[in-house]
Amino acid sequence: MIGAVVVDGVLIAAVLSLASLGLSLSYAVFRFPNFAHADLLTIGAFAAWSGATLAGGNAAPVLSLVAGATAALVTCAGVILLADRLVLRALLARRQSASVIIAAFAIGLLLRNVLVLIFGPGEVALDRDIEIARPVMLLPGLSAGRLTATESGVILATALLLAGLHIFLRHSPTGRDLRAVAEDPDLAGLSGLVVPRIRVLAWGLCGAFCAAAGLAILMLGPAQPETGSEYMLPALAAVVVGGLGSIWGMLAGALLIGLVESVTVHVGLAEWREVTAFALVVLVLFLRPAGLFGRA
Amino acid sequence: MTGGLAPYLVSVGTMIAIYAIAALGLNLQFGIGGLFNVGCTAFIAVGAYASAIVTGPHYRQGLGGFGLALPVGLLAAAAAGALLALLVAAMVLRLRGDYLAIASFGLATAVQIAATNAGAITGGPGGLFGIPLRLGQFWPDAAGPGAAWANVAWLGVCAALAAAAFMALRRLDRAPWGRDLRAVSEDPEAADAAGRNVAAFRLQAFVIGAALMGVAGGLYAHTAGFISPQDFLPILTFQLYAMVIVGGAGRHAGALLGTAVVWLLWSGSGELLAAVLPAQMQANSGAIRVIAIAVVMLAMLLQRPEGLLPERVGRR
Repeated sequence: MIGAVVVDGVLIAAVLSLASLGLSLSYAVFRFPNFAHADLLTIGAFAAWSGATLAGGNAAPVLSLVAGATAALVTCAGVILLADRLVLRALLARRQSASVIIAAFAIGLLLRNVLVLIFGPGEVALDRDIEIARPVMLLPGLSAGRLTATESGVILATALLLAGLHIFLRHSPTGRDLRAVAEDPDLAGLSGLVVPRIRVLAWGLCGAFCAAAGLAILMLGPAQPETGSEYMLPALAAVVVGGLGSIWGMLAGALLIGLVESVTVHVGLAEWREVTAFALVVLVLFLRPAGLFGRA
Repeated sequence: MTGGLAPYLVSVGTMIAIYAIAALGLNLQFGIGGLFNVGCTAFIAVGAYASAIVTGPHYRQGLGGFGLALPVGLLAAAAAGALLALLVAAMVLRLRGDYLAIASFGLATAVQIAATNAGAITGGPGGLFGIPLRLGQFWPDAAGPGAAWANVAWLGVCAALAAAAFMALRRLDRAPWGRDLRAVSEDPEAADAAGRNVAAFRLQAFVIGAALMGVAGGLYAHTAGFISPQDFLPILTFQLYAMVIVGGAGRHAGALLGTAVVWLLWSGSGELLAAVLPAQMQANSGAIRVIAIAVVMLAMLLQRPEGLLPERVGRR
């Protein structure tokens, strides 16, 4: 039982980390919660489905995976950069956080309903063989949960992507510039003035992780136009619980929420899992507004 | 009565009056008090369920059978909205703007999930059917040939309540209370230094606004005769923001004008699309309307953020 809860929790946390990373990054750099993020995740999933299906789907698994990932990456990054160029940049420069957040809501609704127009309101799913879930050995003696090969792959890919992002932010000059903007509270009021190079980089990374998250969501199950919005509250929770602008804090927040959600599901309260995420957010905002790992 | 312009106008007018009450509540919270509540649907929903339960018959599923009079139901709706606001106020009101947005967004999701899953009270995903319609309790003829006039009378009730809310808020706003609230919202530190209890003003604005949203929810329940969790999706909050911002945040008259403009646009575009879209595309009309309202909102935020009726500085 405990092993199954932990394994399921880690899987939820892996997808949630991918889904939260772009949100965390854009919150840190541009200082607003991007409510359009949810729909960017959905766009990632639908673009991945389109790419994979056009490339032959199950008939050519490797090619369709590459095509899906590429389509998701190009679409997500393109859409969010376009939204920034047309709307967000101008509003951010006025430094009224409320109108930026409302605009993000509007962009999200716009994107979601464009998806409905293109793909219809129903589900899309990859056409794949049925996989067998194999037991995972966590520790000797601890009875463990089961994962399919795809699920293990998603967890592994998430770990690699996070490690790659960490190395990029720590050790490349561009990454250090990005961190400087994200971590310097004195720049908080200047978010409208973020230099173009950092702007494009931040939104591009945000789009890239949305693409990865969308692809992961699609590989684990069907997607529909509301799919992303189901991730919005847990993702906000992971970002807030972990502390704004801290990637490792976000990861810890995602793990915490993944485990709490997993427990909620295992005790038979699956429908209430978003409420537990909400409860965690309110508790953390109330007790420690800087987040569990943020700088107070 | 089927078809025709007059019944259509009556139903549009009723919806505008109901939305106006909620928009006035949001304008008090956001436009004047600077409280960025993104969870309006939470307060509208509890109001709708409260009035439906208090006035309702025994529902097939869900709490009911009290059968109290409509005014009691609307009072219960206001109380439910206010109570929910009081419950969460301690936790969320001291948060800065973006955190308040996140917390209230979470609240709306939580209320929607509770409405879906607490079937014993709310009827679950299927909702509550057979809520007393309009003035049905006092107007026995409501289902017969007098139905058209019953609808007009109901429009009168909703419009009177909206007008009362408008007058009361304008009065409050012109009193020292309104000046202080604006001061608290614009510069909390200065207001605090001048001896104003910042937390108390925020709480009052939040609770009054939430009570108005609750009343709007109650009126909606009696207009539709049926409510379910699907009636309280985040798009509703977004529509209210569109109304407040298009009209001009901070002006009560702006909230009224914005409500009329946005609802006419929403409802009119629905009629237009129903008339011009080919049959096989009718299913898309909902999506096209949301896209249209989102584009109007973005254009407004970019081109005329002060709204159609800008807030007047100095004289109010």
